[in-house]
Amino acid sequence: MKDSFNPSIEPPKKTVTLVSSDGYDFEVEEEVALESQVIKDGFEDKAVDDREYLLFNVHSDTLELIIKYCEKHVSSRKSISAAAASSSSSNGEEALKEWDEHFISVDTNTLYDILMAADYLNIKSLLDLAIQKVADTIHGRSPEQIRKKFNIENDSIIDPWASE
Amino acid sequence: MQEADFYALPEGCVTNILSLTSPLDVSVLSLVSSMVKSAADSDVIWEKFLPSNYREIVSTSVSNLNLNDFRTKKELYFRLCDHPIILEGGTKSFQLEKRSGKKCFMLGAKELGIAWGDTPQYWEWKSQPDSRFAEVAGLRSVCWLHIQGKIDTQMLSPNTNYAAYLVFKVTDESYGLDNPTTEGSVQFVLGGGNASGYRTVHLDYDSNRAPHRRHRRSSVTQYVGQLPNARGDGWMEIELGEFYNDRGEDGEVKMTLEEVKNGDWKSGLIVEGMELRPKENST
Repeated sequence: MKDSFNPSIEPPKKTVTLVSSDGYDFEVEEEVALESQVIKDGFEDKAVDDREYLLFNVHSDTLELIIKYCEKHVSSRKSISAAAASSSSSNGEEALKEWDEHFISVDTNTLYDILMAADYLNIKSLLDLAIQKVADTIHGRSPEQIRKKFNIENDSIIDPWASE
Repeated sequence: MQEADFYALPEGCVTNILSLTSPLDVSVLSLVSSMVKSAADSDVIWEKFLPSNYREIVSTSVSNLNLNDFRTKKELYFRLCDHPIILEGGTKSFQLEKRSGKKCFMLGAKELGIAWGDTPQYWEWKSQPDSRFAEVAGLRSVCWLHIQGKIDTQMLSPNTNYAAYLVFKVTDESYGLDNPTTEGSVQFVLGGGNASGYRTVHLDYDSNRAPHRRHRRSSVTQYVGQLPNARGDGWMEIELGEFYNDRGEDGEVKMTLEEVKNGDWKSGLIVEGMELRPKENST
């Protein structure tokens, strides 16, 4: 049998290893990792076999979510630009927005973790998403509701009606 | 995972979060805890809630207002909410709406186009101690009542639904003001846009006497249209209409009060001006 070129087999994708603060390895595609501006900066200077990043501030639970977000955004961008190139109509942007909204609808602790990780890794779109979510959560609540929701202790405000 | 801690959030993130809420939300936040208060009181946040051209607006004010007199931007913000400042020429006032920080203007009577306003036989100009403006317009008597104000939508906050109000009083000796052909309207000068058009207004509606004065079996036809409200500053106001200010690119808006159909003599209206301020979308 003759060797034939098979176009369906792509060259192996380049990967990068991300290591969470609690010591788990995550192997992700290069373009997914490059969603982080921090990883992108100076990426080219690193040797190819040294593409491992220790993320001291990101727990594995959070890192898993962050990777999920970046993978989704990389693949959506591709399908949106493909649809644009073939000038076929697509509701990719809308669908991605919806996906984002669903993604960020998490409990307060997880939201904090995502926000901190997005800030640390400098993933702007995710940081904006998390910040908007916190702002939306604050909107229209009373001081007591905000304390409860965000685990804030009332450290000081003196109660004027408290007994002397 | 460890317990989340609001204080551990990077400072820049907290500032961004707060500036995406509203002045009302941030005022509430300053009651949450002393540490949140210091973030919620910061000049960075309150500067964002002030209109981008506030320096220019304040500098053209004839009210004695010096930006350097304010220790914080929050202080300035509330000063501009609680006390309107009079703008150059003395015929317009500016103010912020407290909950949202959006811009409000009042065009004084001198700034309005009043039909026969310059003829002392029909209208008189007088000063009134409870008015923010030097002069208000008093209607002696006319048949043709037509008062119009115009404002460039660029002066207003974008992406905002505004309502226009006539600010007025009715004297005890008034007559002819309860005519059902009295109309208020708000329209874009060049047409189009999203404005409410014409509506009937009842300047002389008195909630105490109205039900007794008109006896009709069907109450449905009574007082269809806009009714006045007390403003709390001694004046009454009535909504002439509303419009949506998209990006401020729709040009001028004209706001009108008129009774020119019936043509009866009318008297006893005192006009302080027309006010524009944000209104929650009602439609």
